[in-house]
Amino acid sequence: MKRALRVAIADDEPDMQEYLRETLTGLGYQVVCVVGDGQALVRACEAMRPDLVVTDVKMPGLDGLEAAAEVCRDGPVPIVVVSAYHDQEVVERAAEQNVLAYLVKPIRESSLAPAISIALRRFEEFRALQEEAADLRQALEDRKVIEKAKGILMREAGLDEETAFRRLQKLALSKNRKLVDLARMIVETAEAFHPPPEH
Amino acid sequence: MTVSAALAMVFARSARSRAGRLLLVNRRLETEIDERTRAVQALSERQERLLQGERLAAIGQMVTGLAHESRNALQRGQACLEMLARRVADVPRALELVGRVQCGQDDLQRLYEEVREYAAPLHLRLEEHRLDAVLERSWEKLALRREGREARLIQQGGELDLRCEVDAFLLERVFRNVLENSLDACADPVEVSAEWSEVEARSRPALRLVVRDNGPGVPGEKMEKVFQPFYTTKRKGTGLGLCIARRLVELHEGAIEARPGPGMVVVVTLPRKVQS
Repeated sequence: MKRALRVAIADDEPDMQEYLRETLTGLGYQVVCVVGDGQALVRACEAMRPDLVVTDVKMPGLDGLEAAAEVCRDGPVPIVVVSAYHDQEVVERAAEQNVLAYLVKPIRESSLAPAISIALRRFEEFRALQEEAADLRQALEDRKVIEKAKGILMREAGLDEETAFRRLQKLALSKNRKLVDLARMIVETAEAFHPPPEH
Repeated sequence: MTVSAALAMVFARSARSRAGRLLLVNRRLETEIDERTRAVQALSERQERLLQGERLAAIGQMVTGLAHESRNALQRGQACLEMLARRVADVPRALELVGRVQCGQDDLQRLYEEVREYAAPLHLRLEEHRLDAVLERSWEKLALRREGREARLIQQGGELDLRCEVDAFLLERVFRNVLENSLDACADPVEVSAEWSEVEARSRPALRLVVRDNGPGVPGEKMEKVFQPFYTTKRKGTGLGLCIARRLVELHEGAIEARPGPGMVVVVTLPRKVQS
């Protein structure tokens, strides 16, 4: 069975705390903390590392959006806001944060459930895209190093491009190393013989 | 003529002319007093209106705040109601009562939202739009209300230049409120015709929309009443729909009125450009 997603809840109304805890538990989430203000939310998230935060905006001390910014500092966490206010200023502030859904009170289970599941889905997509972008960036970096190593081989051993590349591949295979690691070694070695001019 | 007679004559003449002058001065004074009285009256009326305006603005702010603040209370009610429904899920008689409380809760929520909408300060975000497209969108947004019903909207005059500077979001609301009334008032099949024309209103080029449905309409003496707050013929209406519509149309410097039927006839006139 899939692990239940861990949720942190923040609302300063005891009725709402009980309601959100009960409702989200009923929807199959694991409620890891229920707090009544922004500071407590930040602390709880540091300790519990939830997969999702459901928070009110107007709370004593740090408000929900300020807390959300703090929570997301170490890495994005999907935030669902439930607030009685929808002034433009608040909504704009929410838009700047990792807020994936903004629900205006009064809400009910039938509006909360789909909003959360859509928010989570979007967050997954967002994360997948982020990873893909990181992978692509890495691939591009690797490619640059390999090209450089190939250039060194061509120059130092007088090989043509294809032979140089094949030699790299063969070397990597025989030394049981990743192509990019081997390439990096060659580049570093070459730098030892021909240090780059100092500026 | 004796000296005394001559003197008497001179006195009499000068007295006459003085009396005449006095009369003149008197008359002028009277007019001035009249003007003053009128000015004072106008001033006090204006003051009264100003005060009234301020009072209304204050009430508006209060109501907006009230509606806003009520959301937290409504939310608590809603939360507890849902939890109660879960606790009594196996007691049909209790569940039925919870359902009824939920209806009351929903009505209250809608009422608050509509009152807030009626009283909240509004700012137009004007942009040029084709009004037939705005009307069409309003109709589409009523799709849920039309579900399972036989209803159509027929627009006429689409060949005209229907571009107009409006706040499309607010105008959609106007149209939706008018169309919603037709959906509520008419039996199936509902037919709503919407006819566009180019007119001049207050010596400015304007567009006019005549919406007509095939429902029972409103009797003549009630025609102005439909725009009054909290006037409703529906069992579940708040009586604010057309009232809000009028407010939004007037914000566009336009006019909205009901006309004699058959059916409900609502005429909306909007200037092509809002001046202020």
